[in-house]
Amino acid sequence: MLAYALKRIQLGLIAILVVSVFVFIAVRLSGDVSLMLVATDATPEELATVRHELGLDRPLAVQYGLFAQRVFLHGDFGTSMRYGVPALDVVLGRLPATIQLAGLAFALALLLGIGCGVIAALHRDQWPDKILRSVAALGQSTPNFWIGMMFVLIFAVHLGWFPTGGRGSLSSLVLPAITLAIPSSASILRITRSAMIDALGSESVNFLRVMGTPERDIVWQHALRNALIPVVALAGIQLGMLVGGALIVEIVFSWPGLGTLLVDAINRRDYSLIQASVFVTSTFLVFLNLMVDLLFGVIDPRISYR
Amino acid sequence: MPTPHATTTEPAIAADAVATRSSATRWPWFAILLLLPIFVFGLFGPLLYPHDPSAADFSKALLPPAWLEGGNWSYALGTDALGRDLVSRIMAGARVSLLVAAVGVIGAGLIGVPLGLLAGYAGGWLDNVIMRIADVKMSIPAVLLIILIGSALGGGLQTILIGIIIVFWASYARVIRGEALVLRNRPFIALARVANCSHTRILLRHMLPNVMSTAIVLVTLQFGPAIMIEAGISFLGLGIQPPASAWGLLINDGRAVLETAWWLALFPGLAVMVTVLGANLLGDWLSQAIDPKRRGA
Repeated sequence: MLAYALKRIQLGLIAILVVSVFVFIAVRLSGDVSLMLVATDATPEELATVRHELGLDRPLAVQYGLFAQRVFLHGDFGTSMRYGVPALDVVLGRLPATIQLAGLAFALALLLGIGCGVIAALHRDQWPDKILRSVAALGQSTPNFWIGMMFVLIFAVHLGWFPTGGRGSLSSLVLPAITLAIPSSASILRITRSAMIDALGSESVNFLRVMGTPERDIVWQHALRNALIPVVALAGIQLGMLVGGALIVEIVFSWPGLGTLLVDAINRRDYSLIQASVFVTSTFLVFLNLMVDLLFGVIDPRISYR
Repeated sequence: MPTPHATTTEPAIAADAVATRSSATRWPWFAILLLLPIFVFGLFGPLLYPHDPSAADFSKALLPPAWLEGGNWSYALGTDALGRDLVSRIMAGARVSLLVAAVGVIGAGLIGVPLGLLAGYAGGWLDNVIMRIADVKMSIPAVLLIILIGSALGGGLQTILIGIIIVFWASYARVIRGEALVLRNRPFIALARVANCSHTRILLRHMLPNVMSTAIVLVTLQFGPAIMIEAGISFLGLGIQPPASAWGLLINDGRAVLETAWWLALFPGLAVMVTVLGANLLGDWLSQAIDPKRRGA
């Protein structure tokens, strides 16, 4: 278990390092900062001085080292042009709203996906299964930001049940969370269904049936517990997809999280803000994935032998 | 696909394949029907547009679909705020989606398949490096990666294409590596080595043909997700730039006038849904038809 945990932590650290390299490359490609700092009629010597002060004349590896030092030791991504404060502060201020949305959507996706997946498996090839599978196929094929807009049109504009956007009372969470949960619910439904069908046909379940265990206990206690292993394995990937999806769904509902911040930053070419957002979100996800992996190691003892 | 080397099928699997042939080899007519529009419009679009998709005509701005009051059959699905015909713009968007998804997914395969083969065949540190990079890629959401690329290169076709290639190569690499690991230990590879084949020759002539069918299934399976990502990125404004047309862009245009001109968001979204559903169904069908063991996955 310890070796497994150490290996996972090592992988997580490598992931964060690679992300920082990506961000560094993006910073370098997004334009020569020195050209923005000097007057348009600057002599090559003046330009060279500025470049020297910024360290742009040093080898790339050294530049990356300095960049990593700033990022990892001081959390310094530069100042946001739009807000005039350190980019990291702006990003951290927006993070809770995104976590709230993605967290609720995750809970919803697990509940819906597992519940409907079990129902589909119990009625294999009958009409409940066929309907659920068709809905899941549609849910995986439709951009959820578009579904969200249709929700706004129907439930907010025409029926007036929920606000059209913004982050206020609990009712403002309903439409965005459901919208965000749709694709993940569909994936979780599909994997729960097939794992549940396997589990229900297994030797151990047959044995329990022979022993006269009530079918309800077999389904919900024995079969489901085994069927959940691939579902938990999928959970980390789903979390990543949910946070990525939240960035787009937030736009539809004017949810004041990282997504709306990012699009604003993109439109204003606020590079330090974009890079801080990407770095913080990725690091957060790597951390979440690590937690899921470690939890998985605790739940399924076989994992440490791999 | 031709798999000239060692196509031994174990009897159990062969029997399974016969049993499921009726369902697996039936043509996926529904999926083909759903995919027909994007291919027809994508390949022959300019010949079929009822109007110029980028020609503005303010006297015809925000016309509703033809069957509603004030509609006009010349503009069957209505017009946008600039008076551009929605049917023509959706058809033009099909062209972009087809191009981006096809080039992106095939490009990702051209990188992912060789890397996967190499990782599985060579093993050792090379395998470790390639697969760790793939792991890291998997832990960053696609949207985030493409936003980062966009922040470096600016929006546009190149950003989406590079983005899709970077997002999808790792899936090829993972699956193909798994196949290569199995193939590597098959007798015909050992024989090829005994016969003094170079590693390059073994990889290209003996391993590659045996993973081609899997690679083709992966291309089909990733076509739908690629269209979704393109739509999402164009929706964010980092993809195809106006005045060009792309489905995600059209949906975003429709968002501004959602309450008054709902058709502008509705129909491009339906276009994405129909196409991605068709592609996903086709991918599922193909993976079952080629490999009966994957049924129900």
